[in-house]
Amino acid sequence: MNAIETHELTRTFGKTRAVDAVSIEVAQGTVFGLLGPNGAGKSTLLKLLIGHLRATSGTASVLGRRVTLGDPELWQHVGYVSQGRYLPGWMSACECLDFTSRLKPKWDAAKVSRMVDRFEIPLGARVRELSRGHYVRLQIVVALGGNPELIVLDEPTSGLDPVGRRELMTLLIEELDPSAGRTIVFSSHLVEDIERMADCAAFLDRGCIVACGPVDKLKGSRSRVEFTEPVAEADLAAVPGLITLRHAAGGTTAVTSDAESAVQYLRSRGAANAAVVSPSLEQVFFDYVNHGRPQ
Amino acid sequence: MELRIDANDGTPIYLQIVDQIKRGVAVGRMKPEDPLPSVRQLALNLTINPNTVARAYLELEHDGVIYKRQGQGTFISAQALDASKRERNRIVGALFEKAIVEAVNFGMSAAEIDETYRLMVRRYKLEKL
Repeated sequence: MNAIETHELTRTFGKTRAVDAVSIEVAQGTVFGLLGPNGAGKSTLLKLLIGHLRATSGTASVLGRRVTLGDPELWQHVGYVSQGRYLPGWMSACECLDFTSRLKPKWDAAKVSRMVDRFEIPLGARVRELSRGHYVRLQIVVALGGNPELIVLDEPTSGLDPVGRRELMTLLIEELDPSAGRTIVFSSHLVEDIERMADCAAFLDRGCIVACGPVDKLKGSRSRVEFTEPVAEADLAAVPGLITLRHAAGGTTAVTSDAESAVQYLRSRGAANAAVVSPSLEQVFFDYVNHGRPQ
Repeated sequence: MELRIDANDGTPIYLQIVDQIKRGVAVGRMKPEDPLPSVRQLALNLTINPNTVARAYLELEHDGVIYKRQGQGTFISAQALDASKRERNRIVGALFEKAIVEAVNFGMSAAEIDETYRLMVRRYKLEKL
């Protein structure tokens, strides 16, 4: 079963297509990572999924419900961690938790109290006075306290130090109870977060999904074949699955979607040392996002 | 045995776990009947998605390196060493291939490569092993 399904989901701001015909599916009980450069439309897409923004066209279904703007019914089952500050600044952290508990039928006071202790959240402090680190942690307690079926996190690790990042990821792993079937969707510009946490990922660039699938398959979808011996220009253009070529002092790199055939082909054209170099997810991401873009 | 994963490596994380456990068996750091951490525990130790650990364990079970005992956990199997030897041969074979590609790259002939290999065998007194 899918926790999320979108069809041609689009949102424009003036002439800008912030989210452009996005069709994705996220299976229930999995972790879905959204990766993209700043301004790619990640936050807008997440807001469309939870009904914080109205779609210009296209549809989204979340937890079996057609998403509409500000649907309170959906909100009961969703935990959201935003990038900006949306919790009311004039409330104290304690009042903020109290307020949220009334909106969430499955609020777990014992769990909230454990998390507050663990994160050392100053309950008496006003929300607007919290440091970035404490604010993010409070948002996470607010989001997870209601034992939501779907957790949506927008750049949750940005602004956290390495220890804070690790702490947050550990908490999410604990929340990932397979029997509960909880689904997590998060965005990040840090490839390592996606690699560690996500089952499936999508690359978003200028509002469009440029690649989507299981993380391991994404890594395999763009391979680098390196070689140093010269190969005729005409032969280079016909490398199987060729996406782009890069020449450097140390040799040539062919980025291809068909590594095995490309190696055989290049070896037969004089590059005896042609070999596949497994790319990291980060390299794959840059190959997708930078290809075809003016350098 | 402590496992390490590198998220910036090109190898999928589940394969990094599979490789390290096979290597651990091949070099004798893990022995038949040694227990493995639970999926959840290892996921927390390594800060990775539990599904990734589950996938690594499934692969290791399929390869005969580990087995599950109902209600007791996961253990290194009796035939793990055979499976790990195949793995060892594959890893070492790939390293030899790399070295040979480099040698050809430097313009060495088959006789020269052979001579280098013999030199190594003598230097490390491998004929006595």
